[in-house]
Amino acid sequence: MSARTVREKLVAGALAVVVHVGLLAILLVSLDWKAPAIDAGGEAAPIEAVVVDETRVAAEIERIREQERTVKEAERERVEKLAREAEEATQQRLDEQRRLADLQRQLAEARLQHEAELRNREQLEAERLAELKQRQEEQAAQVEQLRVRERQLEAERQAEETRLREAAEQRQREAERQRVAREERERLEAEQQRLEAEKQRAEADRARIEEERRVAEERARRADEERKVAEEEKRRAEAERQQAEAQRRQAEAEKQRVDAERAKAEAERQRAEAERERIERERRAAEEQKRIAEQERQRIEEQKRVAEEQKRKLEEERRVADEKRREAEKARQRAEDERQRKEAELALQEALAAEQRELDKARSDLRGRQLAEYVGQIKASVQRNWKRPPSSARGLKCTVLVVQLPGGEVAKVEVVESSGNRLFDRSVQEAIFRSSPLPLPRDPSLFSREIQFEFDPRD
Amino acid sequence: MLRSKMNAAVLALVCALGIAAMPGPARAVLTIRITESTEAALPIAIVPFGFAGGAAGARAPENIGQIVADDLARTGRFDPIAFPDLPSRPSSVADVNFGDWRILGTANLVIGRVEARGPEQYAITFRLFDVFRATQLAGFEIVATTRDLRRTAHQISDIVYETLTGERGAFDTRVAYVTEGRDANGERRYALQVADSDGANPFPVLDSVQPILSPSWSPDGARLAYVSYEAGRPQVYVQELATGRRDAVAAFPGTNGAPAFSPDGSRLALTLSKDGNHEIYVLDLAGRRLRRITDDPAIDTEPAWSPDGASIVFTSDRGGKPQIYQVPASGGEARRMTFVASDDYNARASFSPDGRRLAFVHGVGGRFRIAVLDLETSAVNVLTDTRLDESPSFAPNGTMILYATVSGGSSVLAAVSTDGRMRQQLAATEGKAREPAWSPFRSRR
Repeated sequence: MSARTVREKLVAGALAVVVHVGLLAILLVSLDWKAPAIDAGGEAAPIEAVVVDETRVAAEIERIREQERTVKEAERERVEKLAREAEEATQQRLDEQRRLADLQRQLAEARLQHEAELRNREQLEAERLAELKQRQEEQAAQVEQLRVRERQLEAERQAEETRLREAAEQRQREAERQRVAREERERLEAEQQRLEAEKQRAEADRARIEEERRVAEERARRADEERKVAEEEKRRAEAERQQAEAQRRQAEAEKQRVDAERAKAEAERQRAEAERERIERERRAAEEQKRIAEQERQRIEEQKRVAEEQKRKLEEERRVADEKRREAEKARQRAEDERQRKEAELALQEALAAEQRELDKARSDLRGRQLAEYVGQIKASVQRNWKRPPSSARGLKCTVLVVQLPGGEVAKVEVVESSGNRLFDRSVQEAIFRSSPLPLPRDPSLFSREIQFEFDPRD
Repeated sequence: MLRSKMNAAVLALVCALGIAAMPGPARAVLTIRITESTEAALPIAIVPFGFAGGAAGARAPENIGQIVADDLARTGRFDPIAFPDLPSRPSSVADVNFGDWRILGTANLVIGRVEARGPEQYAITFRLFDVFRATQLAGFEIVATTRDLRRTAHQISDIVYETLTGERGAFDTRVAYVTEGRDANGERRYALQVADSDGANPFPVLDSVQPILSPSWSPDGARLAYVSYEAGRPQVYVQELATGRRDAVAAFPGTNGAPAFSPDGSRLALTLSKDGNHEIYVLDLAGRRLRRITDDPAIDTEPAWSPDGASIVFTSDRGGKPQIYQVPASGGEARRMTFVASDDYNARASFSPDGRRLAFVHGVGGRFRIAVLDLETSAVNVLTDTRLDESPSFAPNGTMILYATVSGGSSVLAAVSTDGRMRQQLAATEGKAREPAWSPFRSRR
């Protein structure tokens, strides 16, 4: 605290010095400005304007010096005062420090004393607590004894109560038992009386039922007899009815028999009449038959006559036809002879021509076989070297014209017809180049400087 | 072409006259028909690129020759010769001896050189030769920074591929996919990654502790639409790749899922359940107007646009099991498209860029494979023989299909040629990689 105060005071002093110096400077400057203003009235050259009153200047200088002295004096006094104050402050600070030290010592002592007191109090407290605890334990023991005593009393009281309750219950049970026995006895007596009455009533019932059964049997027996009489009567009536029926049926049969005989006689009469008519019809039919047979005989006679006439005519015709056939056969024979002669002539000519052809073919076959072999070798080589791009569309075709050197080296490959797919076209050209040099034919005259290739994959 | 035809005609005439002078019947030029071949990839020799400049003993930061060889091999159409089997390793025209390569039977040769031009600055020159004709088919010089060297390699692959096949290459493209892994504290983390078409240079464009699903490229390749669960439920976002700026474009109650950009980039087809059931909607991105496309009590999801923008295909279980249906993009009657004999499960369709084929996941007996339906012939061709393949998408040139599959207990990215002949896993990523989507073509540099 005191150090800070001193520093603040020093700073204040320094500030004061600065302010004073500043004021002095302002004064000096203002003097500087004022000096030319005095001679500002003259229009002459600046160098001639430096004419001044020496005494005024001396007085002015004196005045300034006086001022400076005053200021310096004041400053010195102030500094001295500051130094004094600083010294005082230092003294105060030292006093303060001493006071603080004293205070701290006092505080330390007080703390020690306080701590001792605290320790003392703690001990007392501990003793008090121990005492309290002991008292509490004693009280607890007493409470426990009281509690045990209470429990004993309670147990005794409960035992007494139980005993009293059991005695009362015993008494009650005895009374109950006696009441039950009495009731049972009464109930048994009543039951016995009831059973007796029941028996008597049952006896009466049995007698009554026996009587009723007897009456019913009598009634049944009588009813049976009546039924038998009725059945006998019914049987008799049935026999009579059957007899009457038999008589009626006999009469009916008799009537039917008479009717049948009458019908038979009528039928006999009708049959005789029909027989007569049939005989008459047959007689007429026989006569008609005879007449028709006569006519037929005449017709056959006539036919026989006509047929003989025709036979004669046919024989004549056959004779004429035979004559004609013999003449035709002779003509055909002559024609056949002529045809065979011509065929023989033709066969001879054909044989001669075939021989000629055979000769021609043999000549060209050799060339053909050699050409086929040449083409086959080139084809195999190119096919072996053709790597078709995968996933190229189906149906791509490319035709190239290849120019080869006499040794088979490929000199030029030109696309004549593009597939439209650049990669496919490239693969075709590469196949040709990779096959260079192309195989040569056995017969050099078969060498073809230019070959056209049609690349047309099958799948 | 016309000139070559005329030449052929003249030649044929001369030949015919020549042969006519010989005895025997007159013949035209000797013609040989070639019908047999082996189907095989075209052999090509790619020489490791030379390196010049830089400090003594310095090496090129990337093996460009290897990247080009791998790119071409992955298509199944080219068969690059293994480096140890190369007869020589020229890096300039003067060093090429065509005879060596003719003996090898290789028609095509690629050589190149990387030259250090300054810090992180390289000039890459390469040439493609026709070995048999000893002519140069293509040659370029490309300047690139270290960071762009791989991309330059893919661009070289594109040039070689296009020169030899006549089709545009799709190597200088990107793939987007989702990875799932755990961070240092064992926390599950999801990331939306964008990598080169070969899986190299993966770069996370979004990182989240919640699942991310179904990335879909905008047709200009500048934006990705995807599903994120970061709000506690699935919502659809569109993110600009250059700036990272993102917008939740669909945050309706219920599911917001399976976004797909329309071919003109102005709309998104997506699945919403805001009206109580999963249906297909089309969202106009400028006006944020919604149009409902399907209306069926079954689940309709996974929409994909036809390249002409006229129709949308989607997955629906309205027939009992998931099958693929097609509906006009303005809504209307849905028509079932998949009638595979086994009829088990067909889902997640996407169109080929020419609109003539449909790739989809075909499930039979618990095995899910990638299949292609030819829309003209209705023929179905199953391309893969793995077990849990998902999320097929065509390369922008239609020659390959990117998908995710399970290998070695983890989910990885793989590509298959559309004829199913060539299958290859992409560069390995950390954690599981799922839901890949192949980007559109990038504008050529």
